[in-house]
Amino acid sequence: MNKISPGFLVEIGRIFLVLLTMAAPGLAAPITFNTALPVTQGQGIFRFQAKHFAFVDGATPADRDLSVEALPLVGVWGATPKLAFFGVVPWLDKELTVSTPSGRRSRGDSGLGDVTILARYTGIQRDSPAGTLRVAPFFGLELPTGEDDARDALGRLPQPLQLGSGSWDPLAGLVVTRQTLDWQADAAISYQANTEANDFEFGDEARLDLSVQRRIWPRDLGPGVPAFLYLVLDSNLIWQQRNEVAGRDVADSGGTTWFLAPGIQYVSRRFVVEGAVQLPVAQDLRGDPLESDWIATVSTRFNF
Amino acid sequence: MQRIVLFIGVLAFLVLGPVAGQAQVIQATVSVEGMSCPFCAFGVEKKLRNVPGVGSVEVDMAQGTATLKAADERFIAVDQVPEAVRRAGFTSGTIEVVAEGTLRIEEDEGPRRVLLVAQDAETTLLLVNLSDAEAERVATLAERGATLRMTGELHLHADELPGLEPDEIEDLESA
Repeated sequence: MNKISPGFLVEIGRIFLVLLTMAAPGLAAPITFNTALPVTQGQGIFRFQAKHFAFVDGATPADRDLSVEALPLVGVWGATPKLAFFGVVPWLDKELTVSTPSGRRSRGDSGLGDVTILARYTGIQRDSPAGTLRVAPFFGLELPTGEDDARDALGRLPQPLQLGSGSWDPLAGLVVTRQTLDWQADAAISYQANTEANDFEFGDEARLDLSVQRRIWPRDLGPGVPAFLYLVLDSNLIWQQRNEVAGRDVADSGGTTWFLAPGIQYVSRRFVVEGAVQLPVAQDLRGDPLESDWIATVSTRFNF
Repeated sequence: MQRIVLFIGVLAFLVLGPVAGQAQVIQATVSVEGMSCPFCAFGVEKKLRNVPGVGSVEVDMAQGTATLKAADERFIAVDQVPEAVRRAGFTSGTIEVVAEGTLRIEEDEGPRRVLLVAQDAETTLLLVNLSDAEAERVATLAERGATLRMTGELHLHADELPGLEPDEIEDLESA
């Protein structure tokens, strides 16, 4: 098997980290990130997601191919009308395949990934008839619950192919939501400070997310609580610092990616069903990394 | 002389004193500000269903309202409605109620007050913003001890009786 370079694996790790943070907790609203809409006190929401990530190698003869399947389970609980707690438990299956003189070879693992917990507090709430404006800071921590010492026939998997980072990674951000009966807009900024584990440190990550949703059905609202059908357009601008190995920067790591994600969302009283495809509009990555091809998300959420 | 004063006092109490009767809020329609999507409506329904006396809740997204109807043989603890809406994560606006009961006129302390009361209920409504014609009619109905159905906007203030500004007054006994 061809040797897989550390820089290349680091780049895979960068991509993988980006994908994990796209396992958005949440309510009815954006599909790829969180919202500031309220969670009723004493009430919970479950969200089941299925995500497929495809990355392709456009530059090297190794014809590298990375696919990741993620099934994040999100639980949300309203502690008070303004304070909500979120938990994201991902199941992951990732596989890296490269061309070698003896054929295609793969390495990877599957299982529980790193759990993320979040607390969100509604700092500003401006309600009006059939409309609301919410501003909510949030704070969280990614816990090292995923396996970070997995091995295969070739020995220990490189850190980026492990299911867990092994590190405790705090994150913070702010989300703003404006919602009316006809449309909704969300904006979020966030920062995740990744820490070192196993002599490896993923670069810190900053995000700017935007979303607009437009109700397309029913055109005119009747009595009661009709289900809504929304067209959704999410935008994800993601910047990542260089990774470090043994305290030294990895040259082929870090960079900026901008995704646009058109989607559709069916919202009823008890559940939401939605789907979106994230397409890379621009990628300014350092070195010679894999390129994002597409990311598909289908999801459902339940009130309980 | 003392007997005359005592007689006048008893007579005044009988004429001006409280007239007890039964009253209950049988329906309340609350404006839920900030509720703009079906998924959010579920939490509002759930919290309002837990208000004592509520038998059913119907949310209307277009109107931005939730209508509560009392369970059989019960009345709605309408003063708890704003807190239920707040716990759902939204803001309570105007509350329109339909209440039934009898009137009690109090004028022994401070200004004259007209109350729609429940004999065994926690909810007593103070009638507010009555026009002269309404006040005159209410006084007549109070003297008769009539059972009434009133529809109007509820005014809630801390440490005060809930106020009812009636739009419609119906004498159930003459209906």
